[in-house]
Amino acid sequence: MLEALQNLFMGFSVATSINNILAALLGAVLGLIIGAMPGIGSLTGCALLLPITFKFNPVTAIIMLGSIYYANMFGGAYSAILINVPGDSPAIMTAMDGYALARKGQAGKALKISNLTSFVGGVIGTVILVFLGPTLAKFGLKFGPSEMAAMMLVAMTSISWLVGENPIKGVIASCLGMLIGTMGVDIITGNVRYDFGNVYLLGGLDFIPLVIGFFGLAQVFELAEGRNESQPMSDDKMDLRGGRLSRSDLKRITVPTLWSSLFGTFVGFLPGAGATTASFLSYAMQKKFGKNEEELGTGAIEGLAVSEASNNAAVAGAFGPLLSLGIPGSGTTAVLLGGLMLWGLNPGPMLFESEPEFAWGLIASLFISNLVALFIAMISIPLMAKVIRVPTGVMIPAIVTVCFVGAYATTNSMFGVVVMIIGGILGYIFQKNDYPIAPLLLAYVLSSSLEINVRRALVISQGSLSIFFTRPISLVLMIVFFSFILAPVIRNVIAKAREKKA
Amino acid sequence: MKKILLLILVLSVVLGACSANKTQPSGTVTPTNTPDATSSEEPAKDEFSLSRSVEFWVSSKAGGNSDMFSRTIADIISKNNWADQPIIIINNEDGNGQIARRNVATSKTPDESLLCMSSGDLIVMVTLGGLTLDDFRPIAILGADKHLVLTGKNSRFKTMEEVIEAAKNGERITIGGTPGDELTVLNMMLEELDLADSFDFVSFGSSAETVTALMGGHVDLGMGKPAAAREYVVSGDIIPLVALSTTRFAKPFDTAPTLSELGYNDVEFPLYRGVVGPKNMSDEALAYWDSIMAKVAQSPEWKAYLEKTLLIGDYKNAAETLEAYKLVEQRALEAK
Repeated sequence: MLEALQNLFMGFSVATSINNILAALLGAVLGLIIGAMPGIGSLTGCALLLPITFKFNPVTAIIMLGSIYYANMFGGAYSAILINVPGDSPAIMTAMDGYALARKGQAGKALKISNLTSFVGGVIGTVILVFLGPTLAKFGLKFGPSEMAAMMLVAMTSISWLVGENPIKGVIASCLGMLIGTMGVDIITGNVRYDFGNVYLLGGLDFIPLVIGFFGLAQVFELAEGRNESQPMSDDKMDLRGGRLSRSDLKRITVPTLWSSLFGTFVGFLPGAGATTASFLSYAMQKKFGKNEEELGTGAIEGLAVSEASNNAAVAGAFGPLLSLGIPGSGTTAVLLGGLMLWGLNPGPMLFESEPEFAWGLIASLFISNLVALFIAMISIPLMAKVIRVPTGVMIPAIVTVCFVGAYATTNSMFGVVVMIIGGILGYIFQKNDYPIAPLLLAYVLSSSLEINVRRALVISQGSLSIFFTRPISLVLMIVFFSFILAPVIRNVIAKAREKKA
Repeated sequence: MKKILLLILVLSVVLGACSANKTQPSGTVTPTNTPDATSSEEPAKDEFSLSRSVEFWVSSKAGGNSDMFSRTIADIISKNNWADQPIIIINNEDGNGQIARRNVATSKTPDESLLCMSSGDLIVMVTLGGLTLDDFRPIAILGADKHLVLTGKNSRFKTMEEVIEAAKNGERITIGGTPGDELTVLNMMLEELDLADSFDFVSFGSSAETVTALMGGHVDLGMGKPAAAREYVVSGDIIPLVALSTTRFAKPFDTAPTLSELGYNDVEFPLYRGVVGPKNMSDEALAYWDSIMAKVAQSPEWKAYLEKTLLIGDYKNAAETLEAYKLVEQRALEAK
């Protein structure tokens, strides 16, 4: 414990050199902008900027990229809340309640809450990283294919709470999401699925352009339709004084923020699960176990809080396996891993010993960039007020441009744009017919991971399903899964039995 | 408040301008880069010159092995002014890399299009169909990776002999790796050992995933290459069991015997990392790039890169590369 603190102080001395502070600052600003832009998220942002850092000093480079990663989670909430277009996938759940709040005229409050909870999530995540980093990373290793598959099963039950009023439509949406997820090359057998003879579809449909289309372009269609109607957004004063958080608000979000930060950190540690999974899972758990569950989706601040806290915490968590084991804890950290090699460092279990300044400098800078991002985010809230007041006629072309650019930038090809357009059309049809979009996206993301892990687990067990029940961690998760599924049924049975008695 | 924001933005731009080095990274287009175009600089027979910037396609993402390989080459060429046009790296992963390959194969500017192609890429390309080696003109191979069989430190096997024993006794053993070159060399090894039926292959997306699975004890064995596994062998988390090569590897893999030391024939399937051009590339352009790549292979910067990445410096010129890749293609077609 004490040693960790000592190292942390050493890290602070590294992180507070002028170059590194400026790097953190630059990263925070870039991250906020990148985060706010629909479609370009931390993964794309880091991947695009990585080549530029080729010649940087490694510590400065990773501080900047880490700052971008963090600030991205702050920024993603902005476009999610203000224009219902999530800046990237971790912000999808933020959009659910955030935009609803904005519609009610409480955009300032929503922004404040999202910034605050992001900050808390980040701090808690980084603290856990400092003291428990290596331990948790080793624990994360125990999550093999069967454990990940069980975890995905639990995550998929969360879809049921997002289906809205018409469960059948929700199921259809999820099934469609799963179908889309299967397109492309099957990694286990190398077979090509649903490519329709088109060479572009060999890689399946890219998730990010699809999301941009679903949310962004579809939003544009809707805005265009309602162009002649008056602005539904009330003109509330969105400076620092407005959007005041009352004591009861703070009380409501305290517990959700705290547990989702812990949970998000843990999810971030798992190899292969990052901020997106963390925010999905946290939101679903809040719905299941939290108070005010009916409000969730219509502007509940708890929903906003858990989504933002957990996605920031997951960033810290994702650095755990990267620094202590050289294993990426999320998509973006996989990019950062490439960066480490670019700068001539050797990611692996020896990193803390061979490059302590780098590792601890980065961790210390995470604290700093968290603060910086919070500061910049808070003072840019008044700027954001202007965004809402922009007339629809200007918003539409602006959003369209950003969507097209974002879709192209993530894939470096027009195919991404095509996917985005398809997503937009599909999203519009969905909206018009009251089909919920969230289940489709969740199903897409989770089902591919579920499938790969189930099949790997079955290869390992030579076809026997017992592997899911004999390994301790997956046994626990399977019990959780079954209890989630059976709980309502059991409850019904008990209720009916009680009725009969009475 | 606005002024503070503005100040911060300005500071950020200033930082960006200051801390980046003077040399431009190869990802940006430099203004026309005219070196001394006197004929004493270029070999007398080579009057070929490039007419526009060169596109160097990479079918995987930035920061990955192929990407680093390509950027290092492009960097070395620009630093030494061996090419009279800038080289731009283009990453495109569409269609599992097939789009990048197709773009180069059908390029309208064949003399200025290059593609980073490894044996792994070649195998994937042939398996997916639609493109063959005949759509390209191989230019050079600049490095090779060879494989090892690895296991975790808590695994039930400590040596390769134990693995072979267990398999002979009818036990089933799980082994992880990436489909493509790692699966190919595994099959070759199992053929040699005559144990194809005892092993179950668990497919992972990258070497990092295989290593993770080994460390967590989820698979018995794993296929790997030196660069991905080195740190873990040094820390003791991963043990190399056998070297799939004709000679033992350097430290820290030197504890792993080759198959011939265990009484079998050596098996190796080098993962070649090379550069190819489109089939319509002119003969002069091919000779031009051939000589440039030869210079890259001799350069000290390249030697340093090989050392850092633990690649074997197996340089092959255009003709040799064509032969080597033809063999790889054949193998891939047989396996299909």
